[in-house]
Parts: sequence; structure tokens; C-alpha cells
Amino acid sequence: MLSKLAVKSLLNRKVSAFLTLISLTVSVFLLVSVEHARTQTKESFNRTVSGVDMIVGARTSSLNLLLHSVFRIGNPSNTVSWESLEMVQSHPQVSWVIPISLGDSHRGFAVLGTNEDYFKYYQYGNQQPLKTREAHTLSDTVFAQPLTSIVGSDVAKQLGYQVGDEITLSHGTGNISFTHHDDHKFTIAAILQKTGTPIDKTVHISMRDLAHIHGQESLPDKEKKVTAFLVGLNSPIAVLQLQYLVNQYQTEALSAIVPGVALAELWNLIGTVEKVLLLITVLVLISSMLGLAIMLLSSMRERAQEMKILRVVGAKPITLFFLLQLESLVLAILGAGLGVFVSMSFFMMFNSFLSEQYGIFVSANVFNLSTLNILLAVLTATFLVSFIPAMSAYRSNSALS
Amino acid sequence: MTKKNDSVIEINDLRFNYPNQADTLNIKRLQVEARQKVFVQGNSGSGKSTLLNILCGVHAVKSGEVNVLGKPFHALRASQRDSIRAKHIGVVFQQFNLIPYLSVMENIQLAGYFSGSSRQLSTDIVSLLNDLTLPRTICDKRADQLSVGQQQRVAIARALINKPALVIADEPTSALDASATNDFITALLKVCAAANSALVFVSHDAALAGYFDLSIEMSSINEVAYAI
Repeated sequence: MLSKLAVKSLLNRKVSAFLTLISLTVSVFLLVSVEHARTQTKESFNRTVSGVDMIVGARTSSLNLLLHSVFRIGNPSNTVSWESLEMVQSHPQVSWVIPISLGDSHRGFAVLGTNEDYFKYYQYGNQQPLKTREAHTLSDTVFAQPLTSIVGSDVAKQLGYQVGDEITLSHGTGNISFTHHDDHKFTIAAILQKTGTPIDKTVHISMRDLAHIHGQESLPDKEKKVTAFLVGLNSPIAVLQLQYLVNQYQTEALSAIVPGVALAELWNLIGTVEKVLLLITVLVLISSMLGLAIMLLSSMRERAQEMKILRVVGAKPITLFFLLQLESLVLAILGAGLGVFVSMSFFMMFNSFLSEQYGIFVSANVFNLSTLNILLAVLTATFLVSFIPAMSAYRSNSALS
Repeated sequence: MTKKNDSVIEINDLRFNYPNQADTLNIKRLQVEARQKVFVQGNSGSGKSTLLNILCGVHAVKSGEVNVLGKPFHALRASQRDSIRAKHIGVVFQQFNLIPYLSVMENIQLAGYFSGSSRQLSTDIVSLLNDLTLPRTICDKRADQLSVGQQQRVAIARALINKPALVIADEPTSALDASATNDFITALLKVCAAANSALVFVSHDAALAGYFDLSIEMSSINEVAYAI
């Protein structure tokens, strides 16, 4: 009966209740989305590279090197000579070195030149190796056939590719290119499993084929160039020593970064922005909470007679207190539900945009612990802020006039 | 709950004042028997509303004795008086008796709900509305769609649904014209008789006294008002 009363009373004040609901929805949406995007971005970045102890590229800032070599954001400052790669590879503590060469594209997707070791050593997420869609690991001879390519799951999905299809690469990055390597058709040998990392949007080919389509296959090793290379060590303890060695290398200006350290640097940089964003979101929530309290409080004047009637038919003051709390709870629950729904729809619409533009993979599933905490906080805040109108109902005078 | 010839109201040496004000009421003795229909006539300022608020258990009594339905209101807490009112006292105001956005049926059910009754009241409500010569179709109408006369009669139904031992009506006819007043009082007396309820009916209009068993003038029982 009391909940029926609360709902009918809100319906009786449709317009103001509706506006309050919208304001609550917007603030819950903002809070949930900001928090979700924040944690998912972090997770997405953290899961992208695993099992790589060091990344070496031309001298640049560690963030720039990390972003362009792993996330395909930004541009490399220079290339790295094959000699430098061999220098690192010859170090006794180095277990493996994988060259990567970026710069070409296929219909907007990055083309990565590398070798078979890439599929052997590169890991993502919680040390998961790359596998084909059929969950097979890729063999050591995957690039044995010339003009073979291995595409990420999003490439295959968005362009409708199957194993065996032929594709043409373009020179330079971007969606539209005027130089196509039309005379070299690559065959898709495998399609990778979805990883939720930029690998899903990458076309992998061999270094050899990359040189071939650029007419550089006859170049001696000495003149070969790569964009960067990934390094695996025998023992992680050697990382500082090797990093120093690379950074001090006299023949060529190089930068060596440790992915985890570079990511921590990135979070440091973003941290302040994150906090400001969160603060603004919380302020939006507070203002909509106040809006709710004001709506209820201003309605109390016109509802004085209603409160009097309820008191006279026997409602206790505490019952009226809970009636008002119930009304704001109904709005808060509806607002929370709608806010979460809008947030999910938002990420559903924009997650492909985010992953294409920024290499950030955000899932549309916002149901997690932090969302639950936010909703609990919203409900608690509603209860606290509704104390004011609810107390006004509690004190309502039932005296006959 | 009251036996035959038990008094529904018994007041002894009641003195009442609002905070920081002189006494509003000073009643030596007042008694209303079960099923008695009492008319209390008084002009504004005579203390009649204050008296009704005390009888309803809204105002706390600090000096003197007020026994309502055998319960010592002067000794009970506000919440105890609230639940006695919910169960055993029906109240009709001057006007705006109903919650405007609820249907007639829901308004009456509300009184049943707060009295703690778990009975299905709809058949009682329909027969009560019938006794009050209200059409059956009125049940599902919103209260604010009714005429003032209809609203007042629905208020009677609301006050009587729990078959209270005492019904208190505060100037219930002041918004009605002469013929509607007559219909209203006739209907009220009829349903009070059917429910064995005592009735305390307060009005400034002395012409209504003829409908009741007993007529009391505020000025004759309230010594404060007399002194003014």
C-alpha cells in the first residue's frame, strides 16, 4: 500500500518527477561510464603486452615508443638498423628478439612486418599466446610460403575475410592511400583469435615479404631497417643492465623501455586527468541529488493536506518519513537502472570507434564490482539527501483546523 | 470495544494551552456515551478545534484527564494515541478529506491499511458507498474528480470503514449548501447508527442541533471561552 502510494504520488507530479529522473539518470550514466572507461582503458592497455621484457626503438620518449610500437598510436621518430638488433641479440642474457616493421596498411588496418617468432613469443592478457580462430598455435613455418599474411580477428570480421582470400596492401597508413602494392597479392593463411588488443586490427606479414614489395629484398643485412624490436630475456634481472647498454649505444641513438614501467608512467600522466574527471562526475551527482531533495521539499508545501490526511487516518510520523524516502528510492532505482542502461548502450555504440581510433578496448558490459559500488553509493546518497524532505514529512502537523 | 452505556469520552478537569499562550480550554467535565450523537456548537475561537484535536489524540494532554474509548489519553504516548485513532476513531474534516490522486476505493482502503486490518474491504466499501447514496461507478474515479458533496460523503465512508466506536466531524458541512447539508447529515447519522458509532459533530451553525441526541454549546463547557 505504501509503495503504491509513493508511486501514485510521483505519477501525480509527473513533470517534476520526470525531470528529476532524467537528472539522476545522467549523473549515474556519467559516473558509471567514467569509472568503467577508466578501469577498462587501464585493463586494455595492461593486457596488450605481456611476456615482452623490453622494447627497443629509435631514440624517443618512452611513451612514444610504447604507444606506436604496441598500440599503433602516433608515429615512430626514426627506424632502427639491423645491426643494432643483432647487437642486442648477441647479448648473453637475451633469449629472443622479434623485429617489427610498421608503415603499410590494408584498408585502414595496420600492416606489421615481423617473423615467425612473433607468434611464438608475443603474449597478451594473462600470458596468453596468440592462436588462430580454431585455437591452433601458429607453426614455425607459417611464413614459409611467400606472400603469406595472418590477420587479426577484427580485420577478418569487418572485411569479411576467410582463410585463402587474397588481399592487397597499400603504402602508408590511413584509410585512403594512393600507392598500392597491386602486383603483390597476399594470401590469408590464418585468422587470429580475438584478443581485445590492437592485434585484432593488424595484418601480419613477414619481414622478407615486406622488403620484397618495397623492392628492397636484395639489400644486405647491414642496410635493413626495422621500426622497433621486442626483446625477451633469460632472466628479468638483466633488464636494467641491458636497458643501460642500449641507451648508451654509441653507433645509433636508441631507446629501450620496459613495457610495465612505461605503462606506469602513462598512468601517472593520466592520473590527474582521471581524478578531475571523477571529481566533476561526483559533483554532477551531488547536484542532481540536491535537485531530488529540492523537488521533494518544494512538493511538501502542496502536500501538507495530504500528510494531514495520512496522519489522521492513522499513519505514524515515521511512516510518513519512510513514504518520502520510498518516493526518492523509487526515483533513485529507476535513475540508476536507466543510467546503467544508457551507459551500456553508449559503450555498445562507441566501443568500435574507441578501439579503431585509440586502440582501447572497452567492453559494453558495465556490470562489475565498481558499478555495484557506485549504485550503492547513489542509493546511500539518496537516502541521506532525502532526510531533509522526509523529516519535513515526519514533522507534518495533523492538527484539525 | 465499549460495553453498553460505557462512556466513549470522559473528560475531567481538562486544561490546555498552546506553548507560550494562555489557556485555550478549561473543561471541568464532559461525557459522551456509546452510540450517542452529540452536537457541539461553538463560534471560532471557542476552543472547539482544540477539543477535537485532543479527542483525536493529536494534541497531548498535560493537565487533567481525557479518557477516550476507555483509554487514558493523558497518560499515553503519541504513537499509542496514533494507533488508537487508526483503529477506533473516524475523522471527517471541513474539506479536502481525500488524497486527490488516489481513487475513491484507494482512499478508503488507506484507512483500512493504517488500522492494520488485513481484511479484503472492497465489499464493505461498496455497501457503505451504497448506504451513502453514492453510485458504484464512483469507486474507480480519482478523488479530485468528485464534487465537494460527493467528496464529503466519501470521507464519511473513509471514517466509518473500520467501524470505529467514535466518529469526529469537524465542520463537515461548511462547504455544502442547505440541501446537501441535509443529505450529508442524514447519511452520516444513518451509517453511524449502523456501525454503532458515537458521533461528535462540531459546527458553528446552531440550526443543525435538531438532528442530534444532545447539543452542547462550547461556551457552556469551556470556562476559558466563557470568560472572554
